[in-house]
Amino acid sequence: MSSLLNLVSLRSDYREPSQSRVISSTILPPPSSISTNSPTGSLTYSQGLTKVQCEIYGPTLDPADRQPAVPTDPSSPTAPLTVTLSLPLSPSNPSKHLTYTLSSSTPPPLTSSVSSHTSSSLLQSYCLSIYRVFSKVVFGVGVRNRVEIRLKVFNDDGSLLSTLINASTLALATSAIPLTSLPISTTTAIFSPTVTQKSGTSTSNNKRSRSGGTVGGKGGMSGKKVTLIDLNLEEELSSGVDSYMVVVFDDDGCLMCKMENRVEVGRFRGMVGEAEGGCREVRGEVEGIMRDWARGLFERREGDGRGLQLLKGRVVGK
Amino acid sequence: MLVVPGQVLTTESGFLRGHGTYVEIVDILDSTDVGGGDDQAEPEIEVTNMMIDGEGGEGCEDKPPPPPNEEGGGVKTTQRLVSSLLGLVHRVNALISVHPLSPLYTASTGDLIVGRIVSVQSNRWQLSVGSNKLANLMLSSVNLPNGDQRMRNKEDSLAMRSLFKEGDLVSGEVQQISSDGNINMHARSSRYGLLQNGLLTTLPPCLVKRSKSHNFLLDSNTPIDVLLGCNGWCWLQRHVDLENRGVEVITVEEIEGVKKVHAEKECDEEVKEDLVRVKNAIEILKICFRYVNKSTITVVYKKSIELGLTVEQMMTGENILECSAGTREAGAKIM
Repeated sequence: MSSLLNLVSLRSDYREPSQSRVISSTILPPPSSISTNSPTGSLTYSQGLTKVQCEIYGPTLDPADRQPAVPTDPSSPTAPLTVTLSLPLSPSNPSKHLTYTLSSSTPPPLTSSVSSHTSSSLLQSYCLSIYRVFSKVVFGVGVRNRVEIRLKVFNDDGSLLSTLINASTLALATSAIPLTSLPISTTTAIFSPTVTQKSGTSTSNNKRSRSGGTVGGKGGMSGKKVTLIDLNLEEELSSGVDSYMVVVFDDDGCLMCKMENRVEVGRFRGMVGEAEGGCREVRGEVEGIMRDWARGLFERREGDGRGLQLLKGRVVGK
Repeated sequence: MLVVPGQVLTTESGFLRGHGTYVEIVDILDSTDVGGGDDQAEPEIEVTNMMIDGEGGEGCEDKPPPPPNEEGGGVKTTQRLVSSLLGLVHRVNALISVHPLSPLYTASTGDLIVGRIVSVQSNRWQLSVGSNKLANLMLSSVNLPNGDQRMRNKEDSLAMRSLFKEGDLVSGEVQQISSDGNINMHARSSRYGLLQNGLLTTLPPCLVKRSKSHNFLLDSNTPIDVLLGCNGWCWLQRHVDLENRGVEVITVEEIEGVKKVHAEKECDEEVKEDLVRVKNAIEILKICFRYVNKSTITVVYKKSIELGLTVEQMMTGENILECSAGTREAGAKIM
């Protein structure tokens, strides 16, 4: 297996270890006829080659909620959420999806580990993580109301959970759902440069569960460990990657930190510090997407027409 | 100013929080007086309490400030106004609010709205109004035929479909927004009620500014009545003149008779063309994302006549840009 870092310490996609992938998003226009069944907001979001679609429904009245109308406690804002996630069953058959729905009325899954060997348990753990993050930041949707987040994965090229969280954040903000802050997520891990074996070849492990520690031996690069941010699929499956973590930050600090295995305190602090820098970079990109979208609408409304142009006989914004 | 959720709007006191904002109470640990501390160290901020917009002040009891640190450092409690939505900041004197650019309609009491009946229940109708919730129109919130003023009984409940049935368009006013966000409307006025023999067009609600009058005659030379719903649903019909009838007092029976004649009488070709031209004018404003009100609709309508365009020619690309010229200034006027 080739090393994840080349001789100039760049990754296989020519990124630096602390650099995130390119982020792009397409915020879809609202449907022509809005009804109670149409989404409040929808978009596609991609981080590198990992692409997901997110739709927001609500706030709608929850018919299953029969509790009396009691004001929520202002000190702990919570909102009934429903998270629906669809993952493709296999890369060879992307049309078939496995779907799981988690809401406040359904019991949480028993396991929530990052590394799961089956698609269904992975699905449940992702749903639970997304639910836990956004139940802390979504508020003020009204008593007995529910917001539904529907996520669909088109392509998984690593850091899927953080991509799903970032897409949900962007979709909730553009759907005018009140949020206390913007939760932004990234992944981080420690990479020890792989060492070739005595025969000159190296082994590879294609399973998602990784063993701790580094591969010792002679030759190759020095054993200096490097902290990677926003891992792609090749890096996630690499045997030299250790202490994989998914971290979610907002304006006030860390919202969630999901670790695959135990990490010593010194190393943990370093990784969280690097992840915070990565989240800051991603936050800038996501905020830029929001502002560009809103500014485009605002300029079209208040502008003097110079924001419009003819394109193939149709009037479009510049 | 465009803000994102979580962005601090102001840390000064004396401001009122409006929609789309919340107040965050933070404790700033002032560590500059601690012996041996770094003078450049940033104070640590600990969020202790938060008041949610619209919660009526629950949970915002004034807490006594914590005692100062024994080592000399103090704790300052301060409030900051934070945005909870992605949108534009509006400030009216001391009230700061954030208005989102949402395609969904957010109801406010007193809004004139147009809705379509989707369900007839025992004592109410449910209407779709372009929001994520259905609006409720109670049987007691509509006028009975012939203007009867009495308590509604079982016969009235059984005869609800004779008033409004599924698929009908009804105009009304938002009477109340309940705590769970449900919209309660009423149509107890001759200005509201069943809409017939006209055209409906829909707009994003953010293009309809709340103004003094949402029901107006477009122009003295153009006999088209325009009903601009705050939910973005716009109703166009032939002008129904209820004022100049030669009588001082118009009875409910007369109003109902006039509306019935209007509903049954077919429109002339000229009136139909005017209706479609006004509809196209509104569509042009929608494409250009301009405010829709009497001024802007009139500008586009008159421009299309001035340029000699037919109703089909109005919707081509170049003509859209030409007809929408000058609507920015017209949209800035407060009706």
